[in-house]
Amino acid sequence: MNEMDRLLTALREVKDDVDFASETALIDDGLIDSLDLTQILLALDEAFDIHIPAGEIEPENFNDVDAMLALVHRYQS
Amino acid sequence: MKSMLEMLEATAVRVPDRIAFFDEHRQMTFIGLMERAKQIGSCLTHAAPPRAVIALLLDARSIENIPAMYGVLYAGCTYAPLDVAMPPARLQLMLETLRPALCLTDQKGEKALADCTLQLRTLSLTAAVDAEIDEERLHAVRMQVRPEDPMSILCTSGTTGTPKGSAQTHASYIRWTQATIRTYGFSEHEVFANQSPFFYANSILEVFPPIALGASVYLLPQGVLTFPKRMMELLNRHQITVFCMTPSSFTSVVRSGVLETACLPMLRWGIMSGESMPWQPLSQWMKSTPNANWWHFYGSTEMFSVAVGKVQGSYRADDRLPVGKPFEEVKLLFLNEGGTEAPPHEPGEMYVQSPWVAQGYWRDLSRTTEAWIDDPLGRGDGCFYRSGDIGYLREDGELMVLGRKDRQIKHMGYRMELEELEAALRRTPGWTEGCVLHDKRTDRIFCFYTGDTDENMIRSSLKALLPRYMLPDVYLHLESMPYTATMKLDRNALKEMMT
Repeated sequence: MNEMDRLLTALREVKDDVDFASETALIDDGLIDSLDLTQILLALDEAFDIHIPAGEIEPENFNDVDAMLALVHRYQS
Repeated sequence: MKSMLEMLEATAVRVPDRIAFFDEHRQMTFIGLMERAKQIGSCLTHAAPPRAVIALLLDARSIENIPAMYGVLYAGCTYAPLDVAMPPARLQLMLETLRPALCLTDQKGEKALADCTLQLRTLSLTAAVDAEIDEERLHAVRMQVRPEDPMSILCTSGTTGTPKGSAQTHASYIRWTQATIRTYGFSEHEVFANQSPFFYANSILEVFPPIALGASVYLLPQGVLTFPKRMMELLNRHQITVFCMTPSSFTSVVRSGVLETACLPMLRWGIMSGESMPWQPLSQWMKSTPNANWWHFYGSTEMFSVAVGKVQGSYRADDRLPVGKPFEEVKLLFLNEGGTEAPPHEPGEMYVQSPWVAQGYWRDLSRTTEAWIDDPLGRGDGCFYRSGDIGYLREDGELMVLGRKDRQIKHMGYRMELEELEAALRRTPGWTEGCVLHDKRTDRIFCFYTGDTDENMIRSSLKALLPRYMLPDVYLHLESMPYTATMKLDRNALKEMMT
């Protein structure tokens, strides 16, 4: 499974009624809220073994899956 | 003063072009707000008679909520703001309680209503703001508005599973707004930040005193608490001087690690709403805001504010902080279990009387008579609201709030009834027996259950009935529920499992 698939699988486990692959304004449109995001951070931690401090989170990094994957890469290196 | 409209109108005459409300995309002046409200009001007078209830189903963060609320008032009606993100089943319960004559909606509101089976009349806000202002009609309606007419109905969790609608009058809002401005000492130069959605009573602090003063209000973006770093940048960029949140929200910002010494130099009022905040996170905020005073207030949807006070001195980490002194307009009684008055400075259940306590629960006589008690001590004191909170007055006049008499909790800053969660659990397919308990120390809700079901089944069923913050955090499957010798559920045995 490639990284994007792993990310999508992790996200779908958190929330199954959002089309993560095609949405581009997940935060701005309120499709994921703060409770979802907390769970998404845990899911990223689990799927990619990265820890993102809560204070470092910016909304831009969670509006679409490309931005999330870029964030994962930043924390992997 | 007869109506809250008068405060807006006085400000719109005095400082018409000052910014009233703004966010990242839009701004609205006081004159602009008043005219938009009059347009909406003019349109509504054709759709609903005076004193009808109008539900607001609007994007929670939209600036349009404010002219919509005032538009309803211009039409002589009562507004009831609802959360469009509520699960349809619970939204429906709220609408059944309110029985609104009309729902004023935007796109999000339309979407939320699409899943409801109730037949409701709707009016799109876009159409309403296109209406011509009809001063004659507005004047005719205005002649009929009385200060004792309900102005708003705010919904809150109820033990039976049906939410309750707390109804406050124009007179309530007028007296509360005046007392609030006087007590905090706000001026027209403040810039308020609003974080609480308008369907929560917490938001009234950032709507009505600023409008009365002619002060500006910045609406923080959706879900900003998730991004504390961004939130601090925004508070600084917009030079916010007044900021109010629940203690649990302030605490979560501390935990995220974004607070630095003197990082919010502009802030002058930090206000912790509803309940007392632990000293450790509060002292962190104090270091970050060298020019701010920190204030507690105690209150609820039904009571608005009861006591307010500046935090003074310093405390130990585990000290319980007072929530301020009762407003001079507030009368408090402290009652024992037996219904007699507790000795001075000793804890009792608090009964509250004030010019702004709600009149009762909308269309719910039985729960109103349970909570609004006429003359509880039989000495001709009049009607009091029974708060369910246990507290006492210290000798220095500061109010201490110790906890609840019932199973109402504050979870992540939200007020909820554990019984409402249990009522929803009983509607879960496959549910046989169980209960929920709140671990106050870690603010987690535990769900204990037995039978042939599992966590995923319970959770997905609850999601359709309750807002997300009401869902349990931990699920524990038991072979059987523990009982005491008298066959009562052994909650102490369950508490031991909460680790």
